[in-house]
Amino acid sequence: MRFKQLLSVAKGFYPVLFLIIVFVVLNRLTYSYVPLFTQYIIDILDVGTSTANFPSFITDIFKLSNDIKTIILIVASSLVFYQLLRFSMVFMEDYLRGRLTENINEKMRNRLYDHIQSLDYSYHNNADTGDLVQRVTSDIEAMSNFLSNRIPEFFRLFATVVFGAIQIYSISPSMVMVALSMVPISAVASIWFFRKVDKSFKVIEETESGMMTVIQENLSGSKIVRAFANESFEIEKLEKKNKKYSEEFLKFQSISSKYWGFSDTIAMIQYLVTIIIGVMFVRSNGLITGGEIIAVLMLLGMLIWPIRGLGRMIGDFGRSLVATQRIFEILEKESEFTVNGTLTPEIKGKIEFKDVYFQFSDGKNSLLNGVSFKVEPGQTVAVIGRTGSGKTTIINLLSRMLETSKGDIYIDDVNIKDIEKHYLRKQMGIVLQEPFLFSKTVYDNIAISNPNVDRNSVIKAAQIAAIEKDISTFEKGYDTIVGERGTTLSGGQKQRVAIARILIAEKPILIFDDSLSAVDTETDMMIRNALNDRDSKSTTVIITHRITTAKQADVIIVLEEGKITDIGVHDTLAKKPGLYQKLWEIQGQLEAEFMQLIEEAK
Amino acid sequence: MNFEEQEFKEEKVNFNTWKKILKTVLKSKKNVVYLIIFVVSLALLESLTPLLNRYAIDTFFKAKEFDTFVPFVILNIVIAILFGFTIWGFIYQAGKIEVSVNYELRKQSFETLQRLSFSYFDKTPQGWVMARMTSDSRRLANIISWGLVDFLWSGMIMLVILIIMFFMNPKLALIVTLAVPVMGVTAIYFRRKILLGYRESRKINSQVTASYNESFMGAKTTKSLAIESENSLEFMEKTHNLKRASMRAIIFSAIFSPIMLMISYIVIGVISYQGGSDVLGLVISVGTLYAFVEYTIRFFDPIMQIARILAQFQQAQASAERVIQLIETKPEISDSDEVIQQYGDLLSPKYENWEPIRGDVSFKDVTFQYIENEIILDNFNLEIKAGTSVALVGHTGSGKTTIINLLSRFYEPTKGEITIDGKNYKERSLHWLHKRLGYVLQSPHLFSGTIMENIRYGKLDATDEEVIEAAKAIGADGFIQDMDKGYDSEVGEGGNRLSIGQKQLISFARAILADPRILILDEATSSIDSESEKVIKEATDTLLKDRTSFIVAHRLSTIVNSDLIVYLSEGKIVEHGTHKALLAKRGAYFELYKRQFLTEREDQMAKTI
Repeated sequence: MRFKQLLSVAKGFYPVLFLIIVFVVLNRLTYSYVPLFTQYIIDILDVGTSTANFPSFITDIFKLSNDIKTIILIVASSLVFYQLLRFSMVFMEDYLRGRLTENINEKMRNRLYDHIQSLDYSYHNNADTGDLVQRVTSDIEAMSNFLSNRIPEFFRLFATVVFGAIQIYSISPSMVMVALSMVPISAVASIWFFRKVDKSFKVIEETESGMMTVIQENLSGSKIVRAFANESFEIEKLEKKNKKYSEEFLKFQSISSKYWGFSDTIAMIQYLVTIIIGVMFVRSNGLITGGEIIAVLMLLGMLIWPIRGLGRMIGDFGRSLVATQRIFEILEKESEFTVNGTLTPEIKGKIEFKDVYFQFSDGKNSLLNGVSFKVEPGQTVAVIGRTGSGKTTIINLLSRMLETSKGDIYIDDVNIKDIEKHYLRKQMGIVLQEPFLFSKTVYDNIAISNPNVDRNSVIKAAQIAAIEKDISTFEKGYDTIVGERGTTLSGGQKQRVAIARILIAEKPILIFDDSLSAVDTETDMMIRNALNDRDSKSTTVIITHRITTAKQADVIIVLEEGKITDIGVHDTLAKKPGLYQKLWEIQGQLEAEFMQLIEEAK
Repeated sequence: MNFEEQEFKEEKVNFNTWKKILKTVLKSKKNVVYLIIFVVSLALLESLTPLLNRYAIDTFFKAKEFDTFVPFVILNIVIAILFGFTIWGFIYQAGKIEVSVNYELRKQSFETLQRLSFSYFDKTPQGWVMARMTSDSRRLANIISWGLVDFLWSGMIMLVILIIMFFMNPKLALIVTLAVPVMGVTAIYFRRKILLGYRESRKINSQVTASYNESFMGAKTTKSLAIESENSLEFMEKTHNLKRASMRAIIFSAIFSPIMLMISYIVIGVISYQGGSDVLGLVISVGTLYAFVEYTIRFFDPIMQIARILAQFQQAQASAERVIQLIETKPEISDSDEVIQQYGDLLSPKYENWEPIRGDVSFKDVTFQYIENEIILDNFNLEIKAGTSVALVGHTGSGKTTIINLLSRFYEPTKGEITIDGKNYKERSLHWLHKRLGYVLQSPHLFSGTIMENIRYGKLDATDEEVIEAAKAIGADGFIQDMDKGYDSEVGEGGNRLSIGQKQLISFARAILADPRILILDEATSSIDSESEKVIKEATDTLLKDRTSFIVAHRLSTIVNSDLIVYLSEGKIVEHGTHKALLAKRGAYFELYKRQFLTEREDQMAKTI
């Protein structure tokens, strides 16, 4: 199942993969003939004729001359020519493998990037960035590496052993039994060893990460370390971890040295056994020539060395399946655009909620319980309420980041479920409470949704968002790259850049999700006034917890536990008993309280 | 990551750096000697096997003389076992060297880091230091130990084979030798090209990773702006560039080994022909011809190895330079020799000579600049009696943080002096000051480990009872007792299993346990829920009691309760005095207070109703 998925990643590249495998098998097949050239020369020199297992069309060429010296010249130059052909194939194989790797990497990187972008709001709300980055980097590479290197390698191993055995068989059938007898031992030892390596590496990684934590925390706490004068304590702390890590690493080296020492001894003994058996043949009936024994010795390598890598191959296979699973876990999550509308109507800005309910799919706490309200184009509506009252859910539903559980939302009397999502969001200027700025220049961040906008609009937008002055204090002004060393923007500055960002284009609907929470009340007011002074009138939805912000709206919605408990304008709401009135009264008290403090101070 | 890739330019061999690295390697002198013995033995053994096979062919197969067969078999078995033994030996020794170099480099770097003044950490990105201490030191240790093995092995193999070949037949040997420079030059050329391509692709690769990271972090923003396709296009351009760069390296490495192999087979062809003719002329035996072919194949492998090692060393040089640079960094602030003589240094303090502290602090004409001509603090004067609490207020960049950094001697005044109990603090040791200073950070920093360990960080030899008492004093005992394992609960990496309020309380308890005479409190700007707010306020009061304290204050309650408020602007004191006096003045402080008050109260209110 996972293996099938892994193979499916190479879709579109199967012919290349097949071609690579053909090259690999051909390479090993032709390689098994290389020692025969030397055998041929030595046999000719030794006994005047050779039994080397070449196809007849080749021996025909060798026999073109009767002069031994000329024959040797022909054989030697054939060898060079033969290898030239073989090495061109090796080049093709390497090149194709590299290309396949890179093509798969590119394809998968783009596919994942697009897919992750298209996953819905709830997914991103719960995603662990560190884990995701790990997946899209090393897991993709593990997959492409498996497809373009490990699969051909498997065929290479198989072909090497088979062709090597066949070639030895053709020289001496009994020899091949001797040669193959050691293969299972090497294979088992190899599998055992690489299992150990895998385990040992897990331990090493764990101890290493423990050590990294000590270093990391020491660096980020450098002030604390110094302020408490605990430097020598820290040195000791690392010393312990450093020692532990070194010990674990040495354990691995120790196993490793034993394995390679053992397996090389086995290999050497196999050479010896071959010679002993050969000598026994010669002694009893002279069945084998010197040229033949040389060829067998040279071919033996084909059986001995590759088997030692078998364990690694199996370990790699397991790891790539894990990587595949991790990647497909992401790809199998459904894109939010599989459910989408088709309409792209011109939008004036009338918003209507009709008995809207919302709760997350886990069925627990319902966030909205039957919300209905209407906003006319150009009006400003403020939603005020406690944390957790469902304010943010209203705008997540309006921008279709979330889908209603019941009830519908209409914009200009069109159900938003029928409107294409991208189009819908493009009509809205949404400022999140904790907006993200990209690591581009401040200018590019403001112009992000329309890079071709003229400079004046960008500056104007920055002015309205009251961020112009801040930008001018940056060393490089608008060209300051966000997040570069030393230029971290404060929460309030980020919010204001995000506001400027939505002002560069005309949007029929503007949405502020508590997006001035990190700005003081005075600047908050300034920005809202500047927005009001703009020529164009957008429908504006403001989510806020500040009554001074809500106060000026055309419609004020008071939200409590997912229900609208009051709706109206300031003057009426302030007179009606309820949450709003309470808030307003406290506000009045605050001002009185402040004046009193001042008085006391006198 | 980016920081690292940019520093790859140095191409010339820097002997000075390598000499210093070598010193570290020689700390495991014994292992190096063993390693050399093992590798040289291995090379000798390996070069011997074709000779043995030659003997077998010539004696047993050709001449059919079997007298020496038994000794031959025994010798072979001995060699096989020796072979395994030397392989075990060199891998183990190389492993030991690798481990010890890695250990040493990390240890030295870390010790240097502990001596460095805070300014270093202010300027150097954490990621940079982490990379030096992990990937760089690991790579160096690996290349040095295994590079040494491969270098020795390759050199020995080539040398021994060459000697054997010259003994067997100088003419054939000469043919083989002639190919060496051709292969050497080819190998170095290709290795360089491959290396360059590889670097380029690593660089782009880190950009791709950064893009991914950004797309995850900014996913909601991307959705709300509906800029998915713009992001995709940008990303595809990067992955495409990455592919192109990787392909360049791939093509070169795909050509590299076939070319090298081709050269060696041309030589083998020539040897076969020339050797064959010599066999005919009875100059050499068939066995010798076999041995020559075998040796020629084995002779060229080391050349490729050496080319690889050279390229790796070239690559590792950047790592070496950066690690050495870190180890050799000198602290910007250190004690004078006289001070060290009297007070001892960091690792061996002379507590017997330390005088007690009262806590009078005064800034006398202090001027400070981080960079030339960018004056942060200008002729600053302030005199504080022991036990006074001072609230520093003002906008970002007004110099508040600089004042506490100077007081903690994380930086020293450019001009003027700071005295503690009437004596310039440079006349006492850094350690003396830090032992008596308490520091509570804006964003509390906890270490992985238990709550007990974290509080004890304030006084390493405190008993459990003392720790618990400190927690009680600060009002943290309640929530700690409520946790599964009480004081033995793990706080997680960076304390992430605790809430911000809880972390703050623990860092308060840590400071109280240290019982410093001078306390610095860098107050948090972020608001916490009102319940914790109350607890924190009480904890702050406890913490400040009877100490000289400097507070970068954000909370009104802290400001209002302090003995002295210093309002700073552009490195100068604009107003100072008590809360009441300053309010009465109706100046800058009044304005700040009003704005702060209304914002803070309104936000607070929204949370409480």
